[in-house]
Amino acid sequence: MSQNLNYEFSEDDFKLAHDSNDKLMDKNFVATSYAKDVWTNFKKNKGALIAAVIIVLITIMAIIGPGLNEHTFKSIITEHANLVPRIPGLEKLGIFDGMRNGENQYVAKGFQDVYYWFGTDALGRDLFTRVWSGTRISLMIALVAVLIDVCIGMIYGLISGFFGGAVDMIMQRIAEILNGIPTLVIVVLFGLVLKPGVTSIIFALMITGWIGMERITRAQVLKVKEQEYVLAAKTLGAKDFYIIFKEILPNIFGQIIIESMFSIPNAIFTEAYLSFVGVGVPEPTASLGSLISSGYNSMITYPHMLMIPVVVLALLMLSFNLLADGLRDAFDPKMQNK
Amino acid sequence: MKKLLVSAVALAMLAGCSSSGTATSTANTGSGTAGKSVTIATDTDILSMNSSTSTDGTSFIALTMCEAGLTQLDEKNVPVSDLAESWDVSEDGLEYTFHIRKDAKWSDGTALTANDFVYAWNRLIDPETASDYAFLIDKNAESNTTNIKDWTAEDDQTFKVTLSKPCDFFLSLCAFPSLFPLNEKFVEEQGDQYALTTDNMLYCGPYTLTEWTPSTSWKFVKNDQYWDAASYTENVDEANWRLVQGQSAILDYQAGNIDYVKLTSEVIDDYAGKEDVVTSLTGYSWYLSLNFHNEALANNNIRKAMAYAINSDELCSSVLKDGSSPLEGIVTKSTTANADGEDFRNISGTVVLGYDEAKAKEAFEAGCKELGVDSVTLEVLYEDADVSKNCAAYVMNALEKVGFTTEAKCEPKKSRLQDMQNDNYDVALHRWGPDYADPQTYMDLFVTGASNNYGHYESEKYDSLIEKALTTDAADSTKRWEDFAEAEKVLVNEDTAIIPLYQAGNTALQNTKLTGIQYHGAGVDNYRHMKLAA
Amino acid sequence: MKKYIGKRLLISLATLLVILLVLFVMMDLMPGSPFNDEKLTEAQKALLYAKYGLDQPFLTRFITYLKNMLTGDFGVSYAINKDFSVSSMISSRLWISVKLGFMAMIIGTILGLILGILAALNHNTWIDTLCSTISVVGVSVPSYVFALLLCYFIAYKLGLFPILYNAAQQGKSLVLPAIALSFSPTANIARFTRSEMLDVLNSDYILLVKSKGLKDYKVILKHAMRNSLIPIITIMGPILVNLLTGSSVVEKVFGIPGLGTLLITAIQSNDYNVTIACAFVYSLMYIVAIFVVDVLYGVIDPRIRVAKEGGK
Repeated sequence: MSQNLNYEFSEDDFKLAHDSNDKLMDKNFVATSYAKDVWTNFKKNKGALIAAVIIVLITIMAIIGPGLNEHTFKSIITEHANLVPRIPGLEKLGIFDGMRNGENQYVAKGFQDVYYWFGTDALGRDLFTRVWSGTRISLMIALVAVLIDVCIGMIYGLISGFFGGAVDMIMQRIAEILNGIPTLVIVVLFGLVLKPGVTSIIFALMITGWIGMERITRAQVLKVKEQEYVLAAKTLGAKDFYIIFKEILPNIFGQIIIESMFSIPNAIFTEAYLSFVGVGVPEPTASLGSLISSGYNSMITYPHMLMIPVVVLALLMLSFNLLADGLRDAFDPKMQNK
Repeated sequence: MKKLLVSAVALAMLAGCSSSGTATSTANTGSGTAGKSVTIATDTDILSMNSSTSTDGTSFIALTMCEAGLTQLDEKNVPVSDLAESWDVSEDGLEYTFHIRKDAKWSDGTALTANDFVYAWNRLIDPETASDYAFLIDKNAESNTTNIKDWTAEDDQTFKVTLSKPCDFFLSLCAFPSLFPLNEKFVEEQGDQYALTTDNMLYCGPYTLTEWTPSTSWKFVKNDQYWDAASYTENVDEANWRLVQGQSAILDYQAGNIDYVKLTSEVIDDYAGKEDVVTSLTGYSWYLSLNFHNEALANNNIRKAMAYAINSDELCSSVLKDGSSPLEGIVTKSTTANADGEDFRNISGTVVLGYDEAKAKEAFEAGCKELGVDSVTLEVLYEDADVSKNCAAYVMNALEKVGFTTEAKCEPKKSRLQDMQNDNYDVALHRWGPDYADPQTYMDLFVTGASNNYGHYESEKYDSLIEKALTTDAADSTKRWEDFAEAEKVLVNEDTAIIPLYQAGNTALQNTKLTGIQYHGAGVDNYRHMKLAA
Repeated sequence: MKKYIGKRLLISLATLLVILLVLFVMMDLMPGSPFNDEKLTEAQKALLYAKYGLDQPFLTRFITYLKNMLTGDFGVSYAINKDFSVSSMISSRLWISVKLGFMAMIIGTILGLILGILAALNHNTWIDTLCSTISVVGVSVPSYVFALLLCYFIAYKLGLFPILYNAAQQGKSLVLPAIALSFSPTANIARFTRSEMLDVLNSDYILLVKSKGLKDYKVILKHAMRNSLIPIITIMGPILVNLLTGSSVVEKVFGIPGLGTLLITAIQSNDYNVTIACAFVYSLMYIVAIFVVDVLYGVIDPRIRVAKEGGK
């Protein structure tokens, strides 16, 4: 086939592949701080936002909830035992109306004007107050335990990771050995040796909880240690501890926060398990764990005693996990482009 | 990757479908065996089938099934003959001559003789055995519960026991498993292994233990060699015990796999009025032990305030709901019987102070004034069983209504006992089960210096009354009980050294076709006569 | 490689020894004794202590215990089943607990992988949140609640499985407990898979493969999966042993004669030998799991081997 070289080209034959009128401008990013960057990314994650809101709400309820009605967490009115929830406004809608097996428990027992928003437990204590009071205790235990874990684990990991060599090896061996002990056994034994109570639970949670934190910290320190700004600081004559706390720590803080967010639900859950096994908070103090474990005994007859604290616990765990996931994604620069 | 997934799923399905178990446990829930079979759910395990060393209720029940003693208790708590065909009692009540049945046999065919009793009783009191129940018959100790002086086997069929003082309840105590016979040759042969498996034991009771998976299940099958096998033809052929409890066990009962299961207090309301609910009273007396070493508790008004503050009726009916009943004194109802068959409670009447909130507050104020304090804080010690937790919560609430401040201390049972023994408590929720059908088993506890007198209660009046009952009036049943009744009044009413709360009840779901379970509050519950209607 | 294995072995043995020591110390600190029955006299208690060698000084007892342990003798039980050999008590229950643990593990792994992969592939969409929610719900509700729910609805109401453990139908009896137990590993594996997959999917070599034109699912199966699955092995070990410990409550619900219930009962009745032996068996399984995982990791990922051997 011979080529026709005398083809007349018109204006329309060619079109620009790119619009060259678009000047290639750099997208202007407003100069933001690291924290603001993280926050912007975080906001993009709807799940994490909702989780944060839920946590705040639950915390507020934990603070004000127990005071909202006239009952305390330990007052017993035996005639009111085993009542299902009844809420004044909602009962007209057909939910939370005190009905069980087709009849209104409250009316049947002669309590026309008595309302228990979450019902009562087997002894006749108000579940609304107990649930929020229990949430308070559980959150407190978790926060204190995690705080201590973070402090110990962080410092341990920082020192071990930074100094390296023999120090690192010994510290790591010790951590490994401690990690090899099954937590359940130690924790239960501790619960028996110490006086049962909130302090001993926190103590027991502390024993091996810091190892996870330590591992993360150390991994991060190892990563950051090789960076040039650390080398620069060293050259300038900065002392070791200065480098650790002023140069390295701020750069790994994000990871530490994430890890602690994950530890909180872990602590709450371990406390719940301890209650079931029998070394939880003593009566009449309630914690989510002890409420679940006593509510469990009535599960096939009065499920509300179990379900309500379970829902609160699940919401807390879920929210903390989603929050932590969101934080992790927000802190990770690789995620930015999505 | 796909292959991995597929094989993993296949593995899971295989694991789920395999029905071949390992040959360890062979518990049978009554399917496919000839004859009538019963399955009972229990929440406590057999500690030991060695009659010299076992101490717990479940072991005793098991021993009563497959072994036998001189006597056995009938439904009315009256001792009737078992391995002893008959017995002669001397005029002064100091000599008992038992005539052992000629046809009594061990499961390996050897004859059961009076020597077996001598050996077993010697073994019980042997210091090497370190048996908890040696105190019942220890002739070598300063004193023993039954006042036994000596025992001999005059010949194979005659077993003679001499006492230093009469003992009203000796014959019913002979039905207690610690006093069951043992075949010397067999037991010595087995050495350390005695009673560790079904093959390391000999049986002389109406049933034999054919399968035993520790902490899981055990099975009894009728024993044709039992001297009274003829009257057992109507009784169940096979009895299974399973160590399961809680709501899943109740569900299993409703599905028809279990014939007897204990109800927990939380679910009792739902079963109220149903025809298969069975309630019984045990002999356990639950009371608050008060530690006199605590300054506040050493004050009589404070103690009275506590007693008045607690409403035992409400405790039993609204909190425990398991058939427990309020105590009238420290001695329980329907567990004691004298020679005329009378219950000690009828003789002693009601000695507890009773519930009176006004009096409680009054006494509390008076006590505080005497002590010169504004408030009294007490630590309440209790064990971590659900029943105790509920009871303690109720008690603490009641005390606080009157003005006390309370702190809770919840521990496993062993720790609780340890704390009590180490004088490390203020108020403790404690229980005592009777070892025999006489008030002495309770009254002994509170004598000055008694090992179980954890509260360090010391009262000359009480001590002298008890002393009188055990020595001066030992031969006179009526006077003896009168002494005990007076002592109880001092203990509970005047001094309020302890606060009796309730007599433990037991509510269970029982297959309506199942009958014949006999409860003995001050002995061992008897499951020998179970019958299953068609 | 040998040096690596040898080192791990040494650490494992050292850990075991320390654990044993700690357990021994804890048992001594525990209030109460195994025989503290209210009816024993002081003389009898002293006799019992002497009979079982409990009156010896700490070090003597410890060394005797170690010696006996090497021959398989873990002593006798004092408070659960008197005079029964502890090793026979444990061995009969060990097998059942291990079986239960493995079943739960397999179910959990499969479900966890599916959930995690789905979440990672649909990052930041509602599917992601849904999968995360499902897996977290599995972790936040205690396993005994699931156990009883399953028992009630599936075993009791529908009658598809035995309500309580039945030795004659061992496999079938373990299905529901395994499912109840599997919620926790499912959640852990799902979350881990998700984050690993996300890491891998965002990495450069995946970008390369994609730009080469490979179809999406092939990208996942052939490239992403292998690299993200490797770290999962690291958490399998601890998850498995956590299953074994956490199974005690599920065992209680279904009446399964497993190791977990034995441990709890032993702790509550102060039965020294049984507690120490059970705790030791758990620790042993844990250490072995970690050891195997470490070695596997070294085999699979050469970087680890080189990094460890090259020194710090």
